[in-house]
Amino acid sequence: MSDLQAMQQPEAIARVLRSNIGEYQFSLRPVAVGTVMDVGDGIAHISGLYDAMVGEMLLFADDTLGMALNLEENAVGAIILGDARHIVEGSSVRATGNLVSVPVGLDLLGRVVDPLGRPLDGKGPVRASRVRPVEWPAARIIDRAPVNEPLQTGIKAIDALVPIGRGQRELIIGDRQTGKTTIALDTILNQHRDDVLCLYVAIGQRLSTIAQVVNTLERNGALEHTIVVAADASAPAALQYIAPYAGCAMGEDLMYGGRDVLIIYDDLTKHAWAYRQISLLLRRPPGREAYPGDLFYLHSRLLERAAHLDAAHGGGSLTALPIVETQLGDLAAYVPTNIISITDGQIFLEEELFHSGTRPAINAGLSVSRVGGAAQVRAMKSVAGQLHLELAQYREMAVFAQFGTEIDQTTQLALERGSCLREVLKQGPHRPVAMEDQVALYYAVTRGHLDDVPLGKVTVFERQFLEFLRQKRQALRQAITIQRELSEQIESMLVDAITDFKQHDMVLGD
Amino acid sequence: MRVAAPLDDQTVQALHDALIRVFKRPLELDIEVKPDILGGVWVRVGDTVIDGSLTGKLETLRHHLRSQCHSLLSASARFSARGLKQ
Repeated sequence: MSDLQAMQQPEAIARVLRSNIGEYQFSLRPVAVGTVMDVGDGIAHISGLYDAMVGEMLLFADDTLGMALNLEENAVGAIILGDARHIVEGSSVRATGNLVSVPVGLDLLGRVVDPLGRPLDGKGPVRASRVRPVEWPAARIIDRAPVNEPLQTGIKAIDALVPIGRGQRELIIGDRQTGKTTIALDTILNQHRDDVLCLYVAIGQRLSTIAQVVNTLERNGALEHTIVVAADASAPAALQYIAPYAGCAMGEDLMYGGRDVLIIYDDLTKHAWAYRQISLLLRRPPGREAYPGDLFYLHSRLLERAAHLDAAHGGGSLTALPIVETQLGDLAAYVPTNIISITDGQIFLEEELFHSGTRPAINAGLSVSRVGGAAQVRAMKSVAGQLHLELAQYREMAVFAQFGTEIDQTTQLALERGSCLREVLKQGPHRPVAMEDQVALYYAVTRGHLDDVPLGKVTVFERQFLEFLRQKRQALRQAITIQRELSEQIESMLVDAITDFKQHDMVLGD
Repeated sequence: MRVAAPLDDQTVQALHDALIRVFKRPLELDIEVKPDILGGVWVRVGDTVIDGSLTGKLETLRHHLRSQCHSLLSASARFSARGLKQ
């Protein structure tokens, strides 16, 4: 606002302009110039520009940016990254000699920018000293380290069942309105304690949704370690197409600077739509579901850029959480199968679970993490290692029990343990739980300390128990954070804490 | 080649020599007098343009000033504090 007020004073404007004009240095350089042959639907065909590169930044007559995509014998097919209304047949196009690049660096944190790095939040100019091409090869094999550091999402079900490691690609997939974005947001909210920088890339979303996301981040104090890259549904398909690559370039710069970075692509279905539109308009041959032939490469080259670098290269990491929306739970559609096969696992959200009150609505059977197990904290592994199996057994037995068959006591106990476990896995939005609290909680459930708590009171137990730990067992929480494994000492402290809590502090009511 | 006013033979010859030096190949000059470039010289060889005209210089200056002001104009963007409260 202060900049704006300054600009409203005529003398100030004149002074700024005069100094700018005085300092300006003209340079006389040969520039490749082409002519627009036809333009429409965000696409232009340009004659001339014989030396253009794929992905080169082009400058149209009114300073609108473009990106050369199709290099044909006598013409260049380009996408227009912005408003195309002032571009007409016959207007000139200059080649810049640079690939399409975005500003990068720590200065972008806390900002909302468009896919070209221009501010959308009215907080003044983006002061970034460097730029980086949006398309860039992924880190080489020998520069990488195995995924071995956990990325704590703060979501109990994910940290226990489908643990995510730094540098991993974990897909969040599910129908509309099943809590996909909430999982991604909650993960961002949990990163302040671990010093992980975050990027949220919104592709083809409603502006109101994006505003809501920004608002949630701001209210929870998470915006300051986050960059939001937004290409809303009304943005040209070209901008939606480069948005994830632009976000990735910003994340990569931080990763090569030795930082741990988390990037969310919300969502890649709409990205595939935008690319399909561009491809068809550029008259590339359509394939299955009218998507172009290189749809797989479109996403694989993006997700391969997630990496965990070895110590010699700074030890940074880029963890990617792409989001894909399915129609009626159809995992076998074209885009979902592609991305499932590219990523290191998926978190599958189910509408039915969501409506029956299991939130986050994670389907434990279909959700997997192929590399995260190696990165899981040892203490977590020892309390949650058997969860997958126990839940699977529970589901099987629950089906049997429905028939009213007589069940023996062990089965009965396993059933009760299972439903108690399902209760514990539930969690409200924007309320991350710390790793040490999760360990204590899972320890209590799996070792049978909750068997005498009625099912309806499990949530109350959880709330009071975690409060008790925070107030009276700070030493235990710290010990778990530091040792990160379930040593005998910690185990005895846990048992002591649970017994003490159940005897004195637990108030379950009627 | 476009110029604002007719040139004398000596200047044409000097320009011709200079252009051959820059492009490193024989060239034939086709001079067009266009008063609307105001001054200077504008040359096109194939799809390569060297814009030394006064309008071209003014145009780059306008571009430069606009890029300096762009950030200030962005205050009216959609994600201003007002937009977030909706």
